Amino acid sequence: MSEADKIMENIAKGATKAVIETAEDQIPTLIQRLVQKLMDKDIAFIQDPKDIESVKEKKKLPEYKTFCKYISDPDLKIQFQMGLQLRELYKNGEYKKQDKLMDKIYHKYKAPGLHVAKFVCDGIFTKFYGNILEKSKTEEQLNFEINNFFKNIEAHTAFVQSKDSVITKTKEITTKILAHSPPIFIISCIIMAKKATQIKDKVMKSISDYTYEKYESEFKDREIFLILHK
Amino acid sequence: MDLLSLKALPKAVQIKLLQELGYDIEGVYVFDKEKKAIHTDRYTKEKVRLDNMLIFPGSAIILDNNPLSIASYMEEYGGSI
Repeated sequence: MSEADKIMENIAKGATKAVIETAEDQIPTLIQRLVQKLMDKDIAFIQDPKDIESVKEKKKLPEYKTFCKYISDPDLKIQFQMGLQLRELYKNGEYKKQDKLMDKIYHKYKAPGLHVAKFVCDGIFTKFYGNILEKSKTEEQLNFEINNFFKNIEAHTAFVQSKDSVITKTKEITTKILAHSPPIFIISCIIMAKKATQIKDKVMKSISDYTYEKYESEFKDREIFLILHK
Repeated sequence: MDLLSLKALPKAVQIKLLQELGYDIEGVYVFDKEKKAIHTDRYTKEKVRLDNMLIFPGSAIILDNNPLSIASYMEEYGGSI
């Protein structure tokens, strides 16, 4: 067995030390072998195995698997996974990484994609799913409502920022609810803004046939209301 | 499929590997010799740095190491990492 063969065998065993200690004269052979393995789809070059595992773990979660029963759009599936990633980063207190990832999601998918991810990050999906499940009379209706919600997330959610005016946001939300009559509308507001309750109260006065529920998220930085069609 | 951490490869070996794949480096970034431009991640369109790159199978796809690019690759290629 040549030196390069031994190194490749060690790589397969996960012994990366062998690569670092590769003798100078073996490097060209080693690189040729690595490129061949790459072309044969037998190897991937990564930074940290944890980065790959973290993404794989999200795909195994029942929350994601439930979502995939109804949604086949690959972009929505990625946005959902990113919501789960954002949640993990938040839980671990990795706020800078969370901001960076939100920037990337926004850059690729703009506001609708970021709102899908934030919706999932806030943990609202299970509450939303339970509610839609209860209201749907058939499997087809359930499927339609879930697809309609995520494909038109902007018509079904309002993410209120500190800078937003209560009057403008109230008008915007009321208009959306009156135009689309959604079974569920979500108001999610940064808690520091202290605007969610004011907005919810004003919206409730402008619409009929709706009730509301305060959603107690495990994340204490947001105040969330579900506006529910009776 | 074997996963090899690029941290285990000396920088000189990483560069030689890139050169074998038709790339090079320019400063801290991966350089696409064919396009004569700094290589960008196909999913996020961000410039790929040598110290944060991933090389995945499928015509040697060079990506930035972040969850969005990894998840997008898995979605496109059927989770085959």
